[in-house]
Amino acid sequence: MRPISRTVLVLVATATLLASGAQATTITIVNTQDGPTEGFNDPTPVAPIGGNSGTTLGQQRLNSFQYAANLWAAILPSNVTIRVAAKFDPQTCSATSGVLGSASPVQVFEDFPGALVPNTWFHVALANKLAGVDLSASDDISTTFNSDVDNQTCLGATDWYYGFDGNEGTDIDLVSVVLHELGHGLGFGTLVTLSTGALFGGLHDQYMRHLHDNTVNLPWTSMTNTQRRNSAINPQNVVWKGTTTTAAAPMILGAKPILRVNAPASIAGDKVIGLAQFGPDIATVNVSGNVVLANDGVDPNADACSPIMNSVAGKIALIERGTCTFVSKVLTAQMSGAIGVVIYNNVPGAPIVMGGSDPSITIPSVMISDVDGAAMVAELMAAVTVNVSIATDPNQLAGTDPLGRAYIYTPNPLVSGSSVSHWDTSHFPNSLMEPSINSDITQTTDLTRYMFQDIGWFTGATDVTRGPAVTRLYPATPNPFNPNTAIKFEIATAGQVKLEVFDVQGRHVAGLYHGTLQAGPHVMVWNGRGASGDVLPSGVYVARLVAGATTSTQRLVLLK
Amino acid sequence: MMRHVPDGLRGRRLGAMLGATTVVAMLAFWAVAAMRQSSAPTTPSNHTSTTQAPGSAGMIVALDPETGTFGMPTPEQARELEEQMKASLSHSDEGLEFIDHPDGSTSVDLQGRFQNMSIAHIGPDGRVHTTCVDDHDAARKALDPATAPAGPEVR
Repeated sequence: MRPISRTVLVLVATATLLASGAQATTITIVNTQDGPTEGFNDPTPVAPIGGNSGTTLGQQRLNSFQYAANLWAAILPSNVTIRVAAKFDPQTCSATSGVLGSASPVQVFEDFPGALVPNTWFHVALANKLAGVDLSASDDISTTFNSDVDNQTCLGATDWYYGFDGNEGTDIDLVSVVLHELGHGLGFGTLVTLSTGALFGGLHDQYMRHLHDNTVNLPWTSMTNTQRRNSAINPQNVVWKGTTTTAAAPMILGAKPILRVNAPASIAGDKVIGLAQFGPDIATVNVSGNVVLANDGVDPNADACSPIMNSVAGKIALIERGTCTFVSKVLTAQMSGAIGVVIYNNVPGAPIVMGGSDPSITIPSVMISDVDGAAMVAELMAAVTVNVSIATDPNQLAGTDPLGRAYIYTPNPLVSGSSVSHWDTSHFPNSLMEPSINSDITQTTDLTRYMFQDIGWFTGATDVTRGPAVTRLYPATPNPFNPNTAIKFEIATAGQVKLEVFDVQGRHVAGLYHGTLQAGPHVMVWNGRGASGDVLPSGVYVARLVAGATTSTQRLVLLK
Repeated sequence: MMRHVPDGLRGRRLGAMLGATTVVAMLAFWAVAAMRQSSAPTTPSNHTSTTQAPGSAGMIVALDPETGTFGMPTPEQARELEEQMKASLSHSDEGLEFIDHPDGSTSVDLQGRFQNMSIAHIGPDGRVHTTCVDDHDAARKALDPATAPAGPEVR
């Protein structure tokens, strides 16, 4: 927007190498486009805040940008400097909405020396790392952030928060936004045109090579354009198939919140649920009980918008959506002694996230679909006991498929612009690269750093991010299982590894791996078959991992 | 050594050559717009306008390049912002140049396209909701108070 500055300011954010000695990279922030008194060079005096010692607005912006860049630089091993062209300029904004910032790779490369696969596009920063040389003299990532956010006419009183401590309050944490957008510039995103499924330049890209559609059981690389277009709107059926991410997911993601119908058998099973923004974290509660259809005596009787007349004390109240707020319904049930609430949708479609807040709510609540609600109501009207649990399933991870592979955001209808190049919103805790930058993001690169390992950022290097290495088995998912279960484990040091399965009598039934593995997380899928390919009967089996002097075992339950 | 070039890529390279004229024309528009800003006189002038950006429901503010103050954008500024946003969020490879290098690699300068853009919206509850988009239509929706994601429903 402004002429190129006479003052060329180049920040060099050199990350400190971690104790492992692995080589991190250098990210150079290149500011050649802001004018001498604007953007990164704005001389407006400000007080240091949240660990940011800058005393001018421009300095604080640069410091904050540098801090976010350092978080990536510290974990990405590359001997080629990553150049990020950065500027702070006025962007489109109003009192209630505005552009925060944007980023993109400047170039893409294919078939360069060191490319992991042929005929595949790589973002230039990753291509440079793999080639071991700077393939291009130009910058690698282009970014622009909105300087107007700091004035009162853009987003009202909401400003950028330049501290490093995540204490943004009602402001917007610049570090988190920069961290997210740089993630896209470093490789988190596809070049596919989602509205048509067409490939960029007729070739695959390194991101989409790791996508798999569970419905058609095809990787994106094996799909036609039409199949890719359909896959982009196939919610919670497109997964990241990279093995490093899958193996690391149990360390990052929490157990999956569930509503499990225990009885009657006719409607038993886990239901698709929407979580509440209020009340206790379901990970901290585990309530089970019989369900009572609330009746407030005012049509519609089950919406609990008036005091509940029948007894729900010690029970889980079933309440219809509508008329009053979710918070009001749950509070009403809580005041009547309910230990939990299930709200069923009053319109067709999937359950939604229930918004609202009230710190006085202490009981858990979830939403189910209108169809599941009708089935539950029908059983209750027939005087059948319905028993449910609101809990988490330790054998399933939030935001993953039954094999523990992280979901990619593929809503239907297509949320153009957000779909596919983000993690799914079902991740819990929330992930940095979800389409919304959630308030609980803590300026960490969470699951995404493992995704970067899958696309090649750690080729020839040791992951420097994970702390002291250990050898251990993680909970297999699913378990019980049929027909496949993913056995995830971590190896402390490279060497000989043996992963086998035994029956409860100690007889060897299957060898899953015997050979050398690199240190780090791994995953092996067992298909419930014996060494000769025979289908094994239902029962309890034991997976045994031997790596160096460490032996670890885990029970697996095959159910047919 | 012959290097395999996919049919789609060959077609794109031809398309890139044929589309070069279009790109030059578009870049010329932006360059002219930028030059108009950068070469503006330093004496203050009134660029305030009550005209809103086409297709937008909210007030758009802009930096007056001459006074350094914020105010309503001129129609020209609003159009430039809109065009820049549209170009930066384009996913088209039309007109991009596919360059073959001696080491056997091929590179494409994305010309500022394929941006991912974070957008904030203050919902009726007063909270800031953010969304990251890489598509112009999605960006317009996220910026329009009538269609912006306002967070989860509360009833």
